[in-house]
Amino acid sequence: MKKLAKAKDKDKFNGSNAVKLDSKRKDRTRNIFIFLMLAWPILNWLIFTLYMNLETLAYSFQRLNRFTGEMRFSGLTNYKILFQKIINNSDSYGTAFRNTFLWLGLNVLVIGPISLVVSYVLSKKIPLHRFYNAVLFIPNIISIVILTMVWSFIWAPNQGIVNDLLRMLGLDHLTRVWLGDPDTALINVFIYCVWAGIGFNNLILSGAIAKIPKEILESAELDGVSNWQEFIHIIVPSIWPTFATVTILGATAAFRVFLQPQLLTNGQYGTSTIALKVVDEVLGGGDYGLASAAGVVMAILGFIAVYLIKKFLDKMEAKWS
Amino acid sequence: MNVGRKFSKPVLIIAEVLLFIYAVSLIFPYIWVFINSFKSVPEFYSSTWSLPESFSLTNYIRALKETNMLSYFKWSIIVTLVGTALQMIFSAMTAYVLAKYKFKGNAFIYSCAIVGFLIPTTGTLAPLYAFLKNTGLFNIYGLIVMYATGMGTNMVIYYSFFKKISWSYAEAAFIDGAGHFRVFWNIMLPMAREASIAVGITSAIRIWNDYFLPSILLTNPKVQTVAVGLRSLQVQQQYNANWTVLFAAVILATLPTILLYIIFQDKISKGFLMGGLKE
Repeated sequence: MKKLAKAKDKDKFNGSNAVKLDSKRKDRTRNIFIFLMLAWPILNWLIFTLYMNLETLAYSFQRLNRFTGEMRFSGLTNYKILFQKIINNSDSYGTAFRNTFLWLGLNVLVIGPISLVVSYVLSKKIPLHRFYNAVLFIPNIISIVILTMVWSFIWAPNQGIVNDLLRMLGLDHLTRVWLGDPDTALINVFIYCVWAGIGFNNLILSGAIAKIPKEILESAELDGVSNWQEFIHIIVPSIWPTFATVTILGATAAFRVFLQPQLLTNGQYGTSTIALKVVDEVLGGGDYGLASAAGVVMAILGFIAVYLIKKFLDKMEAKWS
Repeated sequence: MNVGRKFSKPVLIIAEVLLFIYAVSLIFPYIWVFINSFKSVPEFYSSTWSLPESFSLTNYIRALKETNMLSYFKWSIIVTLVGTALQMIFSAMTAYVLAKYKFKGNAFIYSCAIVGFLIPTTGTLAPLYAFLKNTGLFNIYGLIVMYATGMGTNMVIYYSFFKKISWSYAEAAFIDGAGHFRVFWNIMLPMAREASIAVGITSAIRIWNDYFLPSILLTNPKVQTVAVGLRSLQVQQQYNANWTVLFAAVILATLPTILLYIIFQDKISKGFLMGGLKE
């Protein structure tokens, strides 16, 4: 069907019924049009996507010569340095590496499922559901700079909202420097991510739940299913493709996380990630080789993780259909 | 309206309580910031929870005067308008040609775009930074060049729209003697209006809120966007402890976004929904 339509399109442009000379001229204007329309977008992509990725790969095998300021081929040196740093946890590379995987778990196993439950509950049109839907989405329209700033006001040691509340309740001994304490900083940044991250997933999952045919829910209700059965046997299978998309997006995002720890704790107190190490290495240390090796390792591990998760999600989908 | 099995009373109450606490935790900090933005610094330190003695606008005036807030706004508006317009135009152009014209390499270009935005971009920062240093592509022009993409998620949204629009409209126009660009600009693009709204809203919000790219590119202290300017204000406050002025700045920066969100909430949600599902 599609092919036929396309062939027809081509026919029109090639002007099979028109005079040959005229058709040649038409062909040329058509090609010029295609070229002009695509010229800048493709150039931009070639520079900022293709070239940058290839150059990252190249950089990962080079080291900067401090005297000449040039990048020189150095084999696997960067990768060796990177793995040594991860194993010895020097410059907290080991922590950063571990955290990237903790973030993967957080996004896939915590934020995704919580969002799913929230959107299921809101799909019941419980009182105030419109208000909740609107408020939960607020983190997506406000800059992360403001969000993290407001979050740091909540958890500030002296005039912070949480510590103030604890003092009012007479729980002074529980007050802490939440974001400046290695015991609580990472978990606090995680909670921030949950706090700010549910709204977007909720929007997408709610859209999918709303599309489930009413008759299915109706007949299940007549059969007397419980909420739990309805959730597990009807809602989850029906919106699985959408949930899979949300999960994949979360998994890919885990390998890019760096702004949250950068803005909340400057990556200190055990909250750094590999992506933040890349940023610090480039903007601070100037070790382009090491940063690129970390970027390549991150991309490869990210690809493998996302691939495995996708495999699992597809298997579940096949089971239900 | 049937929404399936209703919740039992206890489940409903637990759900309401949890969601209410969550919603309050998202809103209350702004109310707290708002209330404290009217206090003087000593007043803030002595009581963070009381209402301000007077609703004086001193902090707001100071925020506007001392912190370049107006200049941040000016640059944010310029970057957002130009960046969004370019992103829309280039995405629509790419999507239109790929969706409606058959030529060699068409499918290949499309798959390049898809692969392109699946790769984590943070890892490529080193060559990007070296490239910027070599070309001097910093500040406003560099930022706009980097926003002027045509092969990202926006293109995919336009692509699915153009695929659905019948080609017979274009044929009629060609017979009337319209050129390729005229057909695209005057006939096909207006028919993809919904895609334009979705792409426009989401791109504008993304660019307005963007922090990382402008924080690297905007090296001129006179040319800063709201997000970058606020961050440097926050860092300064750690030494000045002039918190209440920062609060006023936060309210000034948040207010326009929140107002727009309240007015266009449905459109914004719809735009994000469209963008999110296409990935």
